[in-house]
Amino acid sequence: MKFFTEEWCSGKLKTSETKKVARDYQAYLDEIYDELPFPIKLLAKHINLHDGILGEIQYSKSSNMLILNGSFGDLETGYFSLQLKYLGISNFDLNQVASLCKNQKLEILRDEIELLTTGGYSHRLFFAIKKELEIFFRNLEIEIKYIDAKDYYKICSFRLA
Amino acid sequence: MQSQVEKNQAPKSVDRVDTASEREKPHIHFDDGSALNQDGTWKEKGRELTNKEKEWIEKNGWELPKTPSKKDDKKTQVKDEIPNNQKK
Repeated sequence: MKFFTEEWCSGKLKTSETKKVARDYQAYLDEIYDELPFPIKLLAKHINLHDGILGEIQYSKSSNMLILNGSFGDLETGYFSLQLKYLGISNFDLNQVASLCKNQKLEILRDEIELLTTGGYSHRLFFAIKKELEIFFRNLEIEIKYIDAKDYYKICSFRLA
Repeated sequence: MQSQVEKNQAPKSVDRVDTASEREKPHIHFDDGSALNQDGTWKEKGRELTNKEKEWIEKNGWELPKTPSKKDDKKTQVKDEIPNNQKK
């Protein structure tokens, strides 16, 4: 994570530092916002992944695609299931991802988006188990469905297609 | 508060305390899946707090959840609307 480091996520920074990081990230997003495709704009500014739980990670080597499925939301905003389909992925470490979701509850604490100089994007996720996942991709598709009550995933499974 | 959790100075039922962000109020996660915001509103699965939890929350200057008043809990009482002179 470049902005929301482990120290930030575990509340080890002073309040002023915590707020500065959040402001810096917002300023960064404002700077790149116009260059982002609509689904990434949506993810960066309007979809809150905090406290969401990933239930499935699916990787297709032939399609060069990674899919994350999870449930998100809270009592105030309501609950929803979300599918993030990353297309044109690169630098994918199959073993790292497989070990990340092996029999573990993957609860997201924070995420951040970066526009890369190569023209692609990076989406970084930091989990409550203090591990990080970085996804390099060229495009993103999002599917959101309303769910009546939070159907928590117990552990995350990894599927290779 | 998270540092208290890490130093075992918080009630055992507290999983972690998440910091505020642009979309989140600071909140406490409990081990049963419930989560309480700093302003006393429930973020996940409201429940009755234990005395230890209440004490710790108040000590840190956070709000306790509002409990329903006894007045709200009272069931509507059906009045005896049959005038006495009509009763058999």
